[in-house]
Amino acid sequence: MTDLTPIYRIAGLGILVAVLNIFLVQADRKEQAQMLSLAGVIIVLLWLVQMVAQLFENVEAVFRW
Amino acid sequence: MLWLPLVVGLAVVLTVFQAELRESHPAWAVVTAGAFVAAVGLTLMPRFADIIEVFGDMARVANVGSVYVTPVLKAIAAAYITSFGVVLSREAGEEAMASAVELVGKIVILLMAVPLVQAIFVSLLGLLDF
Repeated sequence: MTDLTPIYRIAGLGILVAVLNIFLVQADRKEQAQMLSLAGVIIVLLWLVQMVAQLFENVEAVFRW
Repeated sequence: MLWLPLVVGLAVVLTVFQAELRESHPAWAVVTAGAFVAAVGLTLMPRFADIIEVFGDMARVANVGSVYVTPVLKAIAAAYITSFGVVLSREAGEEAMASAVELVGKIVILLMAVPLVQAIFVSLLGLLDF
C-alpha cells in the first residue's frame, strides 16, 4: 500500500556508509572517510531528485483539471 | 487508511534519528527529511486525486466554469510544491533560500490569480457603466 522502499534503501546505504566511515577513521584515513561520506550523500541525492521529480509530476497530473 | 499510523510511526522514528544526524551528518539529515516528505507525498497523491475528482464533479453539477476552478486547483498545487522546498531549506537552516522560494511561490500564485482579478475588475466596471 505505502511504498516505503526508497526510505529503507536510503537507510541501508546510510548505515553502510557509516560503518565504512568508522573503519576508515580507525585506519587513520580521514580523507577517504570524508570522500566516502560525500559520495554516499551524492548517491542518495540522485535518488531523491528522481523521487522529487516523480512527486512534482504527480502533483501536476492531479491538479490539472 | 492503514497508511496513517504507518506514516506517523515512521515520522517519529525518523525524528529520533534526525536529532542525532543533524549533529554529526547535516547533509544526511536533509536528504532523509526530503526522502520522507517525497515518499509521503507520492503515497498520498492518489487519494488527493480522488478528492479533486469529487470537487470537479461538484463544480460541474453547480455549473461553475472551469475558468474559476482551475486557478484554485493550480494555486493549491503551487502552494504544495513551494511548501516542499521551503520546509526543506528552512529545516536545513537556510533561511535566505527558504524566503526566496517562498517569494517565487507567491509570485506564481499571484500570476495565476491575475485573470480572476481581471474578470472581477471588468464586471465591476460593467456594473458602474464605464
